[in-house]
Amino acid sequence: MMISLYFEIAIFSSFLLISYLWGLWLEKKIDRSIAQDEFQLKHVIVDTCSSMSLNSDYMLVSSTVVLGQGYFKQFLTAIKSFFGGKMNHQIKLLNQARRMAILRLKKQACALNAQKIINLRFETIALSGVGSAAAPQFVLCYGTLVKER
Amino acid sequence: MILTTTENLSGMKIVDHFGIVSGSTIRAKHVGRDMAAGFKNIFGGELKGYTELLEESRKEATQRMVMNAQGLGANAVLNIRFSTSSVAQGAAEIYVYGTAVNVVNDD
Repeated sequence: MMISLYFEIAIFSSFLLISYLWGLWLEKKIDRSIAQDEFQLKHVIVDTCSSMSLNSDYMLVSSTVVLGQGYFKQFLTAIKSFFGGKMNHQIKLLNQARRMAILRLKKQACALNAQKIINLRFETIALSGVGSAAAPQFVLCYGTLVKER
Repeated sequence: MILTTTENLSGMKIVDHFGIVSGSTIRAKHVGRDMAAGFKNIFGGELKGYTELLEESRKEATQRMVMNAQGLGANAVLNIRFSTSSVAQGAAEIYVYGTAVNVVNDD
């Protein structure tokens, strides 16, 4: 009886450890690729104001990102929502998703030879029902592309 | 059709105002895709299937709004905003709305 309990605890904690390490590696990997892309696309200006210039064409652009949580983050969320406190791991995830969404807009701008995106807005929701404790986060990012004539 | 998120267009003059136009979609992937996404949520990282799904629904919602505006005889939609909500398992509503207007060159 006791042995099977210990066995279960051992399985659970090893699963948690593996998912922690995996999550850490994945986060670092995504962070690296974001930093690299941001460096490459830094010439594209992104602005939340609507500063317009004459002789330009305008176009609506938008991008979507859905980021999954990972088992360890789900576990951490369940614990934190019981005891309360700051959920820094969720902040990290959402920030990554938003930066990825901006980068996708910048890539679209690059493909159309435009250098500016104005009036940028974000929408964020959790896709409930997918997975258990913490749902994947969906970020929608949109703005107006300015292309000089 | 000119679509922007800004309140006005520089170098252009609004001559006609048709009021609000909108479009919305709610889409879901089939159960198999949902289960795959739920499984992928264990590992973390981007859920590409859902990204594509929501990309499609965003395009469809925008298209519906554009058709709505064209039906009114507008040639531009200004001040476009998106709004999203999670309605059911793995399904999200995307609602897009804006102001339909007729614009002409200012000179």
